[in-house]
Amino acid sequence: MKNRSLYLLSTILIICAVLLGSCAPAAAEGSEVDQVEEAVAVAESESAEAPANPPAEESSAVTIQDSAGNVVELESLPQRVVVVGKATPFTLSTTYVFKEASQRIVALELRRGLLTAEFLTLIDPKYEQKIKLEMESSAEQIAPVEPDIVITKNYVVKSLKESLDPLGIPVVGLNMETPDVFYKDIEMLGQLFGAPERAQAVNAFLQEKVNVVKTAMQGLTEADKPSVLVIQYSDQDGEVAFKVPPASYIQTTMVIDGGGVPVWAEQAAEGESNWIVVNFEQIAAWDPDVILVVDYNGNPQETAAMLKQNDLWKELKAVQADQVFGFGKDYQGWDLPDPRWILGYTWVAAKLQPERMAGVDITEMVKEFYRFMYRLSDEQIEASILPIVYAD
Amino acid sequence: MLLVVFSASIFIGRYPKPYWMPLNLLLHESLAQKLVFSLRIPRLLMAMLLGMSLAACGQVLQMLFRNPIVEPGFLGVSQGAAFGASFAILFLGASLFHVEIFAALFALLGLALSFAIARLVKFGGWILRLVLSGIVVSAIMSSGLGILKYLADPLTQLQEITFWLLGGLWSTTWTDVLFILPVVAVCLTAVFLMRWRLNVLSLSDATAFSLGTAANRERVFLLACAVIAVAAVTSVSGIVNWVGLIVPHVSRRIFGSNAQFSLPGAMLIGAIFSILCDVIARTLLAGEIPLGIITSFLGAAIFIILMSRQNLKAASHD
Amino acid sequence: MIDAPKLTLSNVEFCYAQGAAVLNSFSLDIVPASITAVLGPNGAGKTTLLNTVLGFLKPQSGAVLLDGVNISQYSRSQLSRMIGLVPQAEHIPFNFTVLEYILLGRTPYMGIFSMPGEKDYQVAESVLNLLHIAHIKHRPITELSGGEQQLVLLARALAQQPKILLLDEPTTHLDLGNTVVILNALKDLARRKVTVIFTTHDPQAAIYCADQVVLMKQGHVLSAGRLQKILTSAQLSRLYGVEISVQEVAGHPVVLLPR
Repeated sequence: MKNRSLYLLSTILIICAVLLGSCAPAAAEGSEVDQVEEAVAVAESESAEAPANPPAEESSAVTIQDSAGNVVELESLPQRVVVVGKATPFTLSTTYVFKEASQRIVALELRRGLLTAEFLTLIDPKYEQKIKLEMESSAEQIAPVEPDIVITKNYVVKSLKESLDPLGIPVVGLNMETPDVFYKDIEMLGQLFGAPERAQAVNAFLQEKVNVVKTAMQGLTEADKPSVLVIQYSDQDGEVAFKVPPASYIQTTMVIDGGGVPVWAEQAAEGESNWIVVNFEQIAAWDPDVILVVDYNGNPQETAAMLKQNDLWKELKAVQADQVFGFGKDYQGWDLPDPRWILGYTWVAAKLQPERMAGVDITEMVKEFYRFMYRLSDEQIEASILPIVYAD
Repeated sequence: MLLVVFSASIFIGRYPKPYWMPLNLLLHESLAQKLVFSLRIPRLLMAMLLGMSLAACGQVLQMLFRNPIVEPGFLGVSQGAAFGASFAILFLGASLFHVEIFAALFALLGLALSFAIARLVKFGGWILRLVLSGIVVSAIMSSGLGILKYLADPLTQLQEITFWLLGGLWSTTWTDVLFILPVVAVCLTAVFLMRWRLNVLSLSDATAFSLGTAANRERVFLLACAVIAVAAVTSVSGIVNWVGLIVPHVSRRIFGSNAQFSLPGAMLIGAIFSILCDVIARTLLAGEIPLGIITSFLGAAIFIILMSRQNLKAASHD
Repeated sequence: MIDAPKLTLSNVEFCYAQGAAVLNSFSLDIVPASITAVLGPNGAGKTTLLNTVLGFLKPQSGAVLLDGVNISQYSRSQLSRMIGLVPQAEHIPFNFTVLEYILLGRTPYMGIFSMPGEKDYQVAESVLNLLHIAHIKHRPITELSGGEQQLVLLARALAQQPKILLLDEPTTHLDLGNTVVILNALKDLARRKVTVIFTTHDPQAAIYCADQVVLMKQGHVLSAGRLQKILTSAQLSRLYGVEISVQEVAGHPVVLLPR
């Protein structure tokens, strides 16, 4: 009897596993087949029109080099671009800075959660027609779409290349983790889309904004710099955790350039590569002047408000001086490797050194950002973006 | 001794500086008081409960299965509890009540599966079979946990899973303690009262029968109590290994095999060990070290020492 | 002491889940307050017989009766205060002390949640003295010799203060010296009105202390009765299937194997 019930149990388990495994791809494949046909039809009609932004050079050889040094040589500008890999929200946000993206991206990998789909619908009228690949797409899902080139996050490049090189599909990576590297990524995209002036314009825009902050901080002395803690609040699956970012992440740069001292960076975060859990005692021991609360899953301002009400947190200097802020965020947090980093960069400075940054209006900056980067109209910005900006 | 450790631990933490908080501060500063009361004490209590449950369950498992190399983490109990708890949290909301029930259910399921598979395996002695099937079931439950995380986590950053797989007490609140305490208290009291009976139940079936026990029923009851206690604490703390293995061994060393003394001994030692590990976890570095890492490290070290001593003893006896 | 109860097996049939019948129409009357030796070749079903008398195994048909009442009617605690079993060997990987081990025999008198009390310790001590093993009472059982282990097993069963004592091949692994100790203890018990039943495949052990003998082959009774009557050359030869001769030497029967 024991034998039988065990076999029954294992059979049930196996059936469940098979069902689970086949559910996802089945759904994607079904729609994929329809969408491939549509996308091919669309792409054909696209190439029939003259491209809106003719490439500067008409020469047939195109060289693209990404920030990691990968070099891709193509005969002509890639017309079928596919975006996959981890962190596609960031990769996509960066790629869409170029308007050619709307025409040339034929397929992209969609991640659950995050507001990527809404954002993309807003900025790309052709979004619906694009093929949506499932998470962690492998060569088998990518190849049928016939891409000319695949863009992904830098740390995925190596493994993707292994499976795509034999198929002759080139891969490049976007890094986006620090401002300097970000400029290089933009240049690479300029080569890829044949729009180097746009690349220059974007970088100029970013650097101008950075300079605004740097100029404002001139003459700042150590004494003027508040101690700052960036803390991520997460209450996923039943445990509440406070985490600090590794020293190598962009938040550290934002705080330093914004005129503050990042208290967590030396002690907790050297050499780490992932967010680190800290307990409240440690937070109390640091007792920073300013606390910036990151919340990727909810509304950071509400989270910050909730923390300010907490008995224990009320004892902190920062709470008593009302210097606890929810970190800026709209569709995505402003502290991520994404074009929005410039918003975070400026916002942090404005919070840390309000007098010096008095001339900067964050809301105006957001509007300017979306106008310039994503070609949105003021009405669109008013309607869709401003309502979800959480930036105190 | 437990009281000493407990009281000392109240003063250890990362505030205001690592590691020691002066008594003065505690008496005068309101933040320090709040810290100790709302953070450290519930955490210490939970560590105590955790240690006691794991040790008691380990002792019960070892005696009932006549196998000194088992513990809740080896037989799929802890993993089942973690799986059940995660499942409940993801699909039923985080009501602690549901979480505990599901944790208990899957923990018991894990144990039953381990036992059933061990009976099926056709080679090796009983000890070997049980350990092997326990590894299998633990693996199944852990990967189940992984699947849950993967399906549910939008950023696919599997770092949340470290909490479950390696254990941690950093999010313990008084609510947690109040929910877990009654369950654990009831279960451990039952086990404690039956500790003499445990000796008898560790004998062969015929002998246990001849001594007047309803062997199977009583064993199932004992197991259920022990496993439910572990499931309850695991649903709040994640999987913590090794405590259930080495603490009963140490306790038997000191107090003899008679469960009348070695069971309470195990619970005490378990509580102390657990508190010590948690103190290290939360104080050594600015960031929190998952509890399971410390218990594994210390536990494995102590295990090696124990095992090598054992050999020496046996050798010198001939 | 109270009169020993009368034990009867009436037409007992028993088989394990898969196999053929191990006990076949087994009927037997045990004489109270006597020592009965059950002799039989290996595989005759002796251990099964004992387990059935104990009540651990339930026969498919037939009954084991104690004073006329089917033992299944008795509660577990009643039974365990009346019948005790000394198994052939036991392997426990835990090093209980001898005293603790013997105390386990007091379980029938203890509730689920109780610990051994004064009286229990007293009984244990007296048993230790009876068997002359008081000097090892604090030794771990894992460090005992074979003979000492057997004595301890017996001591545990005696701590139950049973009226019927069952022993499964008690002398099989013992040297002559220890064998005599055990068998003397059995004689002593019978004097105190305890009914003793032991299985053995050594006729000499039976000869030393048993009053009654049962010859058992392939699950049923070949013959049963007083020792002198049953233990004859003819009977034994039939039982073991080899030529065996029983001679009388110095007033006692002696079993001789063919040369």
